[in-house]
Amino acid sequence: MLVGMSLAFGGMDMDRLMLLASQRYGNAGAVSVIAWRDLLTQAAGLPDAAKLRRVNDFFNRRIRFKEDTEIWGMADYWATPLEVLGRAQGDCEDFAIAKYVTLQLLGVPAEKLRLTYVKVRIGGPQSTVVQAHMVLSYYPAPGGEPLVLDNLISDIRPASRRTDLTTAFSFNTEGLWVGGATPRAASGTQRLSKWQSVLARMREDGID
Amino acid sequence: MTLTKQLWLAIAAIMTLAFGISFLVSAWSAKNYLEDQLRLKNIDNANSLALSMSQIEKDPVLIDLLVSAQFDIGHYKRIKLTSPTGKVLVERISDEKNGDVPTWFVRLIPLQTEPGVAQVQDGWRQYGTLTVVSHNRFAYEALWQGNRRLLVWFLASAFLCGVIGTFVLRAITRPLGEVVKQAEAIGARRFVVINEPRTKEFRTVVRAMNALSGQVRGMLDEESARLEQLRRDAQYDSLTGLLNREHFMKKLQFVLEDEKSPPAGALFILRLPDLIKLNKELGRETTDTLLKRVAGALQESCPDNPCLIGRLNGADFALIAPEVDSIDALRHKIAARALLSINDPSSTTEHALLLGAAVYRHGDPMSQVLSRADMALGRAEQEGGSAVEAGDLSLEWKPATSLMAAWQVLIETALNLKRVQFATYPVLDAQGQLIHFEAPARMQVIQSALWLPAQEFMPWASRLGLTERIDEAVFDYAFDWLETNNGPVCINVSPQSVCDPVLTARYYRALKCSPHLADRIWIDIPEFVAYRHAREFRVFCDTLKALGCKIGLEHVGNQICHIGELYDVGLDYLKIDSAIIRDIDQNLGNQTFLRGLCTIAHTMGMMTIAEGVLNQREVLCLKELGFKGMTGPGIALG
Repeated sequence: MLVGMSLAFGGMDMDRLMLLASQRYGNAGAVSVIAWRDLLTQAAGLPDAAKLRRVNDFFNRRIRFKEDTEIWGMADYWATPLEVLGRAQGDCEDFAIAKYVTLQLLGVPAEKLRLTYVKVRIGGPQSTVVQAHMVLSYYPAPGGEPLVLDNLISDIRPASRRTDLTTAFSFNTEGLWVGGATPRAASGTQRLSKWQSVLARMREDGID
Repeated sequence: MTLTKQLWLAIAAIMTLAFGISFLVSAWSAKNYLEDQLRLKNIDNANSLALSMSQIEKDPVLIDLLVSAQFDIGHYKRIKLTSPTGKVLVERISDEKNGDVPTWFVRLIPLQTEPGVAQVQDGWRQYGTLTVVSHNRFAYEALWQGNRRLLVWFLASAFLCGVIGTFVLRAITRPLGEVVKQAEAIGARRFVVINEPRTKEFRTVVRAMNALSGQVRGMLDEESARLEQLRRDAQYDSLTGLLNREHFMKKLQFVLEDEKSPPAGALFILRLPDLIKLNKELGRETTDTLLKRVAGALQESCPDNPCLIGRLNGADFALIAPEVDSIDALRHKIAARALLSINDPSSTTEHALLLGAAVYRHGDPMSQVLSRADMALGRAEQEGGSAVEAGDLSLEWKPATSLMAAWQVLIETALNLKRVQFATYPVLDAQGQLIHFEAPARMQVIQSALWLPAQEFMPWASRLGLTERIDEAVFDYAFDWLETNNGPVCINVSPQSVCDPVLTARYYRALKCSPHLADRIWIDIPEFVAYRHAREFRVFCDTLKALGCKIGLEHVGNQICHIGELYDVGLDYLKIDSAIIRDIDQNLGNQTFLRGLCTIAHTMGMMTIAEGVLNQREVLCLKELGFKGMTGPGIALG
């Protein structure tokens, strides 16, 4: 499972991931994946705060923001880390998911992480322009205030300093596949939620 | 075990297996499907409830209400909200049972439903983790009902298969029953031939068994023809085909002694005094032809009566006429025909013949009867033509109407008072053990309390048409007798009774009601009935033998050539006529004949019993010939 896998990337099949990346996205894709692998190797022993920073920087710098409709030609597509790395493009969910997965692989427990739906106010405190957005929240302590990893700004800030964001709902992989149950191919990815679907596709890519 | 039972077992086994497999498959796929559905429902409901909670003010009462509302409107086993530190904030647990689904079924198919887990936010703060577990009662009920329906369908189709299978099997094995019957018949040495069934495998078997029956039958036919030849050689005059002297004398003796023979009759002796002269004049061949013509004339003289005709020596012929109504009439008839046969109408010279007749009565010594016939012959020589010597007997005994009426009264009275019974004479096997008691009928004359033997009243009963009633009375008496005696007992059944289906049916019913007596009843039937009334005889045998009675022929000897025809009747025994048995130790011809007869009878599964055995010499000889049983004056229980 994702949690258990995080130690030394668990059962992650890096060779397969590389092969798929070069096949699908050519050299650039392979280079991205190699960089990602290096990140996983280098950040492995660091404290959580350092991991967060490295991962946030990695994706915010390397991946260009683009709407799903531009990348995938569909309204709302949740991409796997491989797809994000390969194309070096992604929207807010893709950033959050890639960061979430990478942190998990680095050994950050799932209960400290949340993918959070937020409402973002764009253009300063007085602005009335709002937009749906997704960020990754990190909870150092169960009851405490989270740190927010966002693709809109480059640095990681505590939630209290993100007055432009209003939370709506959050989730993680906790309790999703308890007891070793994994979504079966037979149940069909289309019957899964977007979140489950992206996790299943990720597994097929070799990130397990 | 019968095939049908095996078929049912096989269907039960197959259906159980099929049900087991389809139960496993359907239960397994249903289990997976239901588990998936429950899991999705758990996740969906957990998330939507968590979503609602995340949006509202985190007032504990409100949160509690929300959980209660969700719990009460849906079907849940458990809804739990825990704080990030693991403290339970709200919990609802249903103690609802699995409806009417038995616990063993629940245990057999454990539905593992994963709880749905979702996070509840309070702004940026984590408020808690929501765990939702749906109730799987409905899933179990659906599974239980589905499998019950499946079981019912399987039972119904198993039953249907069984019923159809039974019918099909019955149709298939119907010929098998016939095959088995034939095999059993052949085992009992009844070599029957049946129609070939359509089933190929059975047809092969039946063809083989038919071939076996055919071969046995052919062998029996050949064997009986050979026997017949032996018998003729031993008992008949080779030139004229009449009985030879030896055999004729035995017949005469039997007629005089046997209980069942008619009480009186006449013995004729015909002599050709000029035979030597004729032989010289006409030559041997012509004389032989002449002798044959005389024999033919004698046979024509009594076509209706059971006459016995023999050639005593070169020029002497003899004829026994039992039951003849008028001796004089018969004498004239014989003389006239015989004269015609030896004289050429165109010739001027006439060859003479002498005819002497002697009247005899049952019990007369043979020598006396013969000497009377000799005297008559002497008188005929003196008087010319023919003469009758009656001794003290009347020449005419054509029954007077009054005599008939008297006998009718006598017999009917005895029948009505149940005074028709039987005497018993033992029939023993070679070791001196009892086979059965021979039981000739006896009738009591009420006025004199005297018991008459069969030969006294049976001829009258026959004339009066009372034979069947006497047979019936004897049969009834046999039942009474067997209640107090061990038996077995062997009763006589007359030809008339064999041919009477009503009486046969009555015998059948009586024996059916007393099955314990049936195997102690043996039934003697005269030999000629088996051939002259072959169809009725077979019906009679098939009907009564099925109940365990033993049936055989008595006075066997004259129609041996037909014995092969009995191949499919399955008779139990043959009683060989005393005329053949008499002095068997001195008659090599008859010995050869009887040895052959015993062999063929044993091949056909019949016991051979010798009638009229007189002494130990005969007994030893008969044992050596292969006889299994003996009866007669020389045989007594030791």
